[in-house]
Amino acid sequence: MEVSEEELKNMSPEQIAELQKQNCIFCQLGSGKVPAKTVYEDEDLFAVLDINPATPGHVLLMPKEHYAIMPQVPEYIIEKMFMAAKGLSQGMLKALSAKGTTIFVANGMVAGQRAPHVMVHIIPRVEGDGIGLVVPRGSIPDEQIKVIKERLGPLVKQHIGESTVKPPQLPQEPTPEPQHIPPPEAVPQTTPDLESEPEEPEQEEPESEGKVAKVGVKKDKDFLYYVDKDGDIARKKLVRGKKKKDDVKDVDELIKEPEKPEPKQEQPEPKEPQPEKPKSKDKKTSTGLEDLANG
Amino acid sequence: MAKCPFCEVQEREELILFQDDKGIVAINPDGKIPGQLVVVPKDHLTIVEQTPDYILGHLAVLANKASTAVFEAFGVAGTNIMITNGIAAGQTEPHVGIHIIPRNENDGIALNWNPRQADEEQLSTIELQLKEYTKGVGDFQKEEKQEVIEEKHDDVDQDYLIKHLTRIP
Repeated sequence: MEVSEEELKNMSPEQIAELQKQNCIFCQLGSGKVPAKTVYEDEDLFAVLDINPATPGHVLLMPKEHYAIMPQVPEYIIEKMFMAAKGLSQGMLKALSAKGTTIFVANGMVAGQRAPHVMVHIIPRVEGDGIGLVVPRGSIPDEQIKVIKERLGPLVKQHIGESTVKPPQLPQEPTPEPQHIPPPEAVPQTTPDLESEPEEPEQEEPESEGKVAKVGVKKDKDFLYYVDKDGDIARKKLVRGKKKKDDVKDVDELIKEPEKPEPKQEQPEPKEPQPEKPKSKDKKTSTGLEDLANG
Repeated sequence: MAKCPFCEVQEREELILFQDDKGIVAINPDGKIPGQLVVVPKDHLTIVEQTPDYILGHLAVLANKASTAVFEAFGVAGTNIMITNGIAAGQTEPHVGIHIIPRNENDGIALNWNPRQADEEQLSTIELQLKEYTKGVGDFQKEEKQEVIEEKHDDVDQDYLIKHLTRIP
């Protein structure tokens, strides 16, 4: 797929990623568009023989998904890759009479990464095969070790911690329920002397609340919910200021009509304090460091 | 007999950057490049084949994170993550380890090989040989139950032995 530079400039990161994928030879090997000598495959990984091997039997093991660099690869894929690498290594010792294996990952071009698709090389080895994959050896002086530890220690812990401690902070759930209950309770307490609602069940109030909740009746604002004489759930409009209580409804059965109270008093009923919605303070504390992936 | 260097690392607090119940991320005191690290299992396991799947997988995750940290701490241009598995592969300690080697342009570290040409026939032969032994590989489990993993591995080994027997003419 040919794309001009101009087009490339106008592409979103997603589109560019898609393009990289389409142009990635290893993605095509993984999806079977290009034939390969596949020696292992599961739902996440596949392994092919390198056509330009370091030694005969050199295997490239990689995720089917396109990841350009290793920090982008999900943890479970990394785990799986190395577990599969072990299996392949074992296979080489048995099938190819290898005497050892080198399991090798190159991160970055200077490290020898040649394709923008993360892969693990598994190379069968025999003594004296002339493959220059050796761990550089020397001696790090003590003072330098100290400096390295100071510099690297916190970062290592931080990166590893990022994965093991799952969500750093769960948003503290403000519990609005308890705050809702007091207002209705306040109403009956002040109403008895108003003679408007003799039967108004003060004691039943909290229970009705519970029942309302249980039967799933939708609670509207400005209504008082209670269990009436018949054990049904009724509601009554709360009065504000001089307004009349205009309707009393039986929620369950409309036939039943609780007595209509006729409030004559001008005395305003206590205004139902609107429960303020508690603002959630759950600011997500960002983990601080951006994934290196994009860098 | 001298003590295993990678067992010894576990006792040298000044080298340890991170540790948990399975593994340790440590500065490799025998490294050449500042920032050269090694990730080792706490248990003395000699080669990859002896290392239980779940431990190896975990060490790999640690190594990947540590590698990312090396990028950030030293501003390097790349890293190599390498296991030299067996003396033939250049393993120098009798304790499996994932090495992390910081890399930079012209750093004089020659971690590479001369690619060979492989002919189709040779590749096909190897493919068949290797496939025979990788059939049981996918069996590592996502759940981290140690017993299950080990049991299944016994199965794989048995399968292999049986297969091997049937192939004897």
